[in-house]
Order: sequence, then C-alpha cells, then structure tokens
Amino acid sequence: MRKIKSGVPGLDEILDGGLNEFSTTTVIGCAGAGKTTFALQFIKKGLETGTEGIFITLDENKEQIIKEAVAMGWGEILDFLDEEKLVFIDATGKEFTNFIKKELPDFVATWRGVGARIAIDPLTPVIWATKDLYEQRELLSFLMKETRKIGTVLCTLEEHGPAGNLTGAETVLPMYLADCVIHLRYRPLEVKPYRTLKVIKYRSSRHSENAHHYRFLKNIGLVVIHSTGETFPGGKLPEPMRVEILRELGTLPKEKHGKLVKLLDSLTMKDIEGIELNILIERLREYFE
Amino acid sequence: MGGVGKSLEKTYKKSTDTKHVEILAVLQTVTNYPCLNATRIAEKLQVNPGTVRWHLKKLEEKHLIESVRQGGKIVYYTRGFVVREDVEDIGFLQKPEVRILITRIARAHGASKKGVLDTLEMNKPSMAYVYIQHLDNLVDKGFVRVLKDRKMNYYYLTDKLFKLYKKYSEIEVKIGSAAVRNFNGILPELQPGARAALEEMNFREGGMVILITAPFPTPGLLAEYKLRLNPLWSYQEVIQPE
Repeated sequence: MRKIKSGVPGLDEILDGGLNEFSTTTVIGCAGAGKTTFALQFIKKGLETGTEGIFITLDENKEQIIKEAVAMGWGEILDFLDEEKLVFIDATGKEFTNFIKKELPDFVATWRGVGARIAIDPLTPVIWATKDLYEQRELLSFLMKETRKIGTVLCTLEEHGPAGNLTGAETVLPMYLADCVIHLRYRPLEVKPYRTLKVIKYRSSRHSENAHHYRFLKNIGLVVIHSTGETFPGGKLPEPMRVEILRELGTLPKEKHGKLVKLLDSLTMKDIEGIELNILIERLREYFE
Repeated sequence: MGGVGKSLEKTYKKSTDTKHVEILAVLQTVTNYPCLNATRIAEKLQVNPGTVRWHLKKLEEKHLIESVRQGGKIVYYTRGFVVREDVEDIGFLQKPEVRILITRIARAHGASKKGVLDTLEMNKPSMAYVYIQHLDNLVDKGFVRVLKDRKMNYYYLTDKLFKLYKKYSEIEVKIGSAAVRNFNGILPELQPGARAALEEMNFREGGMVILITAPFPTPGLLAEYKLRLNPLWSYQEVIQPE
C-alpha cells in the first residue's frame, strides 16, 4: 500500500510514513482542536503534489473556510480554486445523505481510482440526518467504502460530551468503520491548556501508541511535537541482538530461516520495546515451530 | 485524469436542485393521494399550481402517471396503482366530507339521516347542504343504501363499497407483502410506469418508499415500519363488513 503525506509536519513519522492511499481516516476532536485546519492541511499537501482536492463542508460556508485558509498563510488556495484543482461543496446533512444514497455509486463508477483527496468536515451532520442507528451505520459504511475507491478520504468528527470521551454513538460508529482514527485531544479549560494527538487505530500499518503534543504554528497550521525521549519508528535491531536471536533459533529449516531473517529486518526497536530478549526468543520459536 | 472535483460539484448540485426535488414530491403525492386534480395537489404540497401542472405534464410524458378528465377536472394517478374504471369512485371517496360521512355511517350502522348529520360539526349552515348533497351522491353511486321505515330513512353501507376496499386491499397485499420479501422481487409484477416511479422514489427514501406508496397499507405493515397512514385508507379501519 502506498503511503501519502498527511500534510501535518511530524505526523507522518507517527503514522510510519503517512496515510495509506485509498483509505479513510477519521479525525476526532472537540471545538478548537484543529479539525478543519487538519483537513485543510491534508488537502493542501495533495494539491502541492499534484492531486486534486475536494472539500465537502457541512457546517461553515465555503467563503469562510477559504478566508481562514488565506489567513493561515495559504494564499495559493485561490489559484487552485481558479484552476478547478480544488472544489468546495457546501452541503447539508440531509442533502448529502440523499446524495450518498442516490448519486454516489454512479459517481464512484466513473471516477474510481483517480486518487483525489477528499475531506468531509464535519461528518457529524451526516450521521444525525437519520435517527435509526442501523441506518446510520449502513450509510456510513457505504460512504466510507465507496469514497475510498475514488481517493484518500479524511473525515472530521466532533467530540461530544466530556473531553476525551469517545463512547457516543456518533463517534463510535465512524471509529469502527474508518481505516485510521486520529484523536486530537484539547483541554481548553485547564489552567495551562494543552493539546495532544494520539493514533487510536490504523489498519495495515504501524503507528505510535503514545500521545504527542501538537501546536498551532502561524502560516503552517498543526505541527506535531514528539513527547520527550520518544523516537518513532525507532532504529533497527542492534546487530548483537540479531545475531543472538538467529543463533538461538539456528535449528530452523532453511525456508523458515529465510522468513525469520525477513521478520528481523522489518522489526524495529519500537516494536519490541519492553519485551525481554529471552521471552522474545521463546515467542519466535513458538511461532516458527 | 482530472476534473473529479468539478464533476462531483455538478452531480451534487443536480441532486439538490429544487426542480428535481419538486418533481419527485409531485410524483409521491400523486401516488399517495390518487385521483386529485392539480390544484389540490398544489394545496397539499403548498406549491404554486402552475409549477405542479408543469411537473405533472412531464411525469405524464414519461408515462409515470396517467390522467383522466372527470367532471370538468383532470385528475391524476400513478400508473399501475389505480384501475382506470375506479378513478371516478376513488376521486369521490377521497373528498374529506365524503370520508367523514362514511365513517359516521359505519359507526352507527343503520343511522337515520338526522343521526348522521347531527354528529357532524358544522360551522356554517351551508355545510349542511354540502353534506346532504354528498350523502345523496353516495346513495346514487350505490355506496350507501337507504331503508325506509314509515317516515324515517335509515342509512347502511353497501357491498359495493366493501368490494372496492377489498379489491384495493388485495392489490396492496400483493405489493406490500412482496415489498417486505424483497423490493426487487416485486418489480416484474408491476406495470412499467409504476415500476419506474417506485424505483425512482425508492432511491430517494432508501428503500422504504414502496411501503408508503402501496395505496392501501394494512395496519400491520404500517405498524411494522412506523409509517404514516394513507388518507385513502383511513376509513377502512373503522368499517368492518358484517
């Protein structure tokens, strides 16, 4: 699977190289966490690398978002709009739901695999357009399955209830259905407000399991600052450790030995962090026998 | 390949186009309230009658609906849902005053004229005249019969009325139960016009339309899908043939 740059400096490292192409990512956060900014950065990176962008906005109008983007120091957005590389779609929850049911399949059939970047900001009104939980799930699953055929999709999601509580229906559903979930945690009411970012899940990819501080930097937007002492994805296994494992498992048949070498090449220090060497050797032996 | 965004914008705009939404609303109204004229459809939708007429013309051109001239008015119905020979009767039975009358007669089977009219709320004296006219029409059309006993007239519902209900209940059961089984399964059983109409609306409402558009849904179906009641059907609930 090809990785593409997320557009948020410091995030790609946490995501082991970036977002998977043709996948859906959900960014969850409360008011002021930076969801829309994240979405803009995601679209911007795509446009800079020659990928078309579609920004579906369900809350604010197009003009407001363009104004914010310009204020953020992204004046080129106007050029992209002129060239029709970037398109904004002002939608409402009900209309967009109808669109998904009625027009989306045909649309996807025409544009499958084109590789555009699509941002849906926020997804919450689409979920609330129907009351029935089963229908909500069906609709969301359909939306995510279909849109990722066109390109890489990023949905933002409001966090309701107490900060950090992700158990509401409108957050749980998209979390299950998306390929990658990124939680932007922002505590505006603390004495010293702080923001952290955590990758909750990421299908078919490694990712950091720590919370990372992030900040807003003028003219850039969100920037991830790694928590102290953490490196990700971490270096390769040191040579003595490699030699030790290969020696301990030296009795494996040739074909399995090849697989073991391949596995050791792909493992990083981060992967085996906190596992004692003899236990690791035991587990590997069990796996290969 | 370029232009995916522009294309999406165009498709989205089309799907939210008021004309597009309006025409579907008209089609749905014709299906839910068969045998109304353009003015009454416009009243129900709270849209300009001219707009409704324009949409009706388009729908008729596409053979989704049919119309018939009846007493100086043109009434519309969805193809396949109403049998042409019943258009006049259904149009008549749709009138609110007629529905009220039938409900009253059904409740007090064998009521006198005074008994029927006394229970009605009449704000204007002219309303009494309207009701008496409709009562006479019901008798003329054979939906109600009169038994004379000395000087008094007693009113009863007739078999003709029950047969009409039964006929449409059967159409409904066929459409309704098939719909529960499988929406696609029933399509071949319907006439092409009705089929296209259903498919069109079904996309819009996510598969539930067929149950709403069944002209006479049974109480069970309605309860099961929590659907609103079809106005044509509503008096069937009160009337039980003996």
